[in-house]
Amino acid sequence: MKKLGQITLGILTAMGGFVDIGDLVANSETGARYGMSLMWAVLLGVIGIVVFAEMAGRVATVSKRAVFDVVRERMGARMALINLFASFFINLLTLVAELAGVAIAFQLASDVNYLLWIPLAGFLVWFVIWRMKFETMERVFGLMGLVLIVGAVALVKLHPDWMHLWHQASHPSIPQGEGTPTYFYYAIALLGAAMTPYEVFFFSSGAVEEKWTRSDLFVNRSNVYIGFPLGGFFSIMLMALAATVFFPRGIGVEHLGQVALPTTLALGKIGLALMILGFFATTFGAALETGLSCGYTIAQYFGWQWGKLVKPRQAARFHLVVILSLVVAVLIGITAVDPVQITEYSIVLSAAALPLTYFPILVVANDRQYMGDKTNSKLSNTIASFFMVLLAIVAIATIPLMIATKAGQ
Amino acid sequence: MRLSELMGHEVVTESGRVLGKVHDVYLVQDGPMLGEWGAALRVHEIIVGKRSYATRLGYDRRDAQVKGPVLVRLLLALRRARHVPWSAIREIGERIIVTDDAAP
Amino acid sequence: MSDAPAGRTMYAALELLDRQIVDADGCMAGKVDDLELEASQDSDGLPVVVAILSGPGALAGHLGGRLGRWLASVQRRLREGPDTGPARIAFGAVKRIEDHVEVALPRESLESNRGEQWARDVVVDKIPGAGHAPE
Repeated sequence: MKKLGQITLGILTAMGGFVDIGDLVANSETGARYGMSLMWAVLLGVIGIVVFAEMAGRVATVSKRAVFDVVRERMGARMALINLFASFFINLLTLVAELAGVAIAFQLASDVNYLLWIPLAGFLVWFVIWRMKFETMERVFGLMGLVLIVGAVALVKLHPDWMHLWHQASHPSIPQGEGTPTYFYYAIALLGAAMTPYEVFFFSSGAVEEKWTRSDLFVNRSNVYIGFPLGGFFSIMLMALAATVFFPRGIGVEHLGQVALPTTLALGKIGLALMILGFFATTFGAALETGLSCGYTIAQYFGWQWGKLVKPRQAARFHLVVILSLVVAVLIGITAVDPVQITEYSIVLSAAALPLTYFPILVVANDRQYMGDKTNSKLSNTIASFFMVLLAIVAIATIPLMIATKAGQ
Repeated sequence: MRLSELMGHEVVTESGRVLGKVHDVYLVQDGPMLGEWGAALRVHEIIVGKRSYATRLGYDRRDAQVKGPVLVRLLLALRRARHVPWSAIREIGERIIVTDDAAP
Repeated sequence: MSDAPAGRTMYAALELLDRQIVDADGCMAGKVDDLELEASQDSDGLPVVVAILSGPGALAGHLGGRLGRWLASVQRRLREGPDTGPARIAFGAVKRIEDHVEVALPRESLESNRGEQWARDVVVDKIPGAGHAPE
């Protein structure tokens, strides 16, 4: 019975922790612009992250090695360094976006401009990383994120034309006046929002640090196989809210505050309050993971001691990197970069950079010397290979599409 | 000498034929005793080949442990690397010069 | 030649280079960035692996090119004292090579750990709570 409780807790945590600012922004924007026509991209992204996270978790459990350790070993120091630069840069962009998300949640609750909240957000993120236990951190913010379910309640209350929504989703089409390149640009954005690299860095580093054994594999597979798709449900919910309220009126989503609007319409102040709490929990949780990932990637490349299980003074360089990353992210944030735009850039570039980390993990997941009998099955290899091809296509297509569509205008 | 002075350097025969670059070196534990470690590792062969990423990733090991996924193996046109014994090396500099019979 | 398990073979780049170094207490202590080879005294003259090189000076050689040269100059400037070579771990201190390279010395005694000590003394230790494991 206790095991069942543990599994349920894990699933709920994964579900609540799935959404971050990328999902909040991308799903609302595309819902407003294309209705449900891009739901397939969300589904694809969810399957993708499930495959990716499961492999990375398995590799971390069996080989006892986290992602960037593996990347350097497999790709060699040179290629891995280029990989590191790219991954770290994108991580940093994502961190800026998440901190802005936290700050905007504070703004929505207090009417004080979000720019003033950014330094506080950065400090709080650092403080939690410095002091809070890994598991506590995950649980608290993961479970808190579940309040987003209020959006589903709101959706029902708004009485959308369900058949119409379903029809839009199952017969994807590009609305009149919208270009095809932009449509696929947003598809890539949704893919990047679901398949965030920092999630994999975080997940796999946690597995190594907590010394997952093969018996933990089952519990954690259930988190991934059930928790993530349920989290994807939140993404679709956000898309549907925007599709119901904004799409018919031709309103675009330009500010994070708008994401809460449909729920406020349906459920009033309570709905808004819960949505704001949900925004806070999901972006703060994601900021923690992204901040840590800044440290993980660099420390794992150079072989420095990393992790939350040791005293900070035992992993001094790791913590120094995390602190510096947060400082830089705060500095970038207070220059008033548009939060929605920086979020878009971070998810689109994330999608383009996925092959860098996906490919080495895929190779190691097939290495018998590392994995023993836990190498990829033919089935997982088939699905994983499909995604490798997909991610390669996405990687090649992203920059041209970005330029051609002027970043989704 | 450092390993990095060998790795990545081009290998040519005395008669000028380019064999490729050094990808790896093959070590055998048959040297003098070193502290806790035991018999030291000695360089027996250098592994040379045309640029082959597959070798780097592990698809070319003697005991091929990495078999899948099929797509990756097909894409990384695996080219068998050459094992050149250390004794065949004549000179080590920007390029590594080996005897003609090192490359059948 | 010896009664230790001799005859073990390995590919340096695949199994030794870029591997995690773990110290006597199980702490992470850098990566194998390069290897130091010495010509053997035997008739066959095969080079012997005498030390592991770790840290920016060693990584510089491993990376090569302009990047490597820049990194090497950074390392030389950071390094105090007359000896400007990269941080070195004599191979005799290696206990085992499996997933990672286990070394029989504590981190503190490794030259490559200087950066960690600097970060600790100059920044991390100054922040309250640095000595507590997170609760």
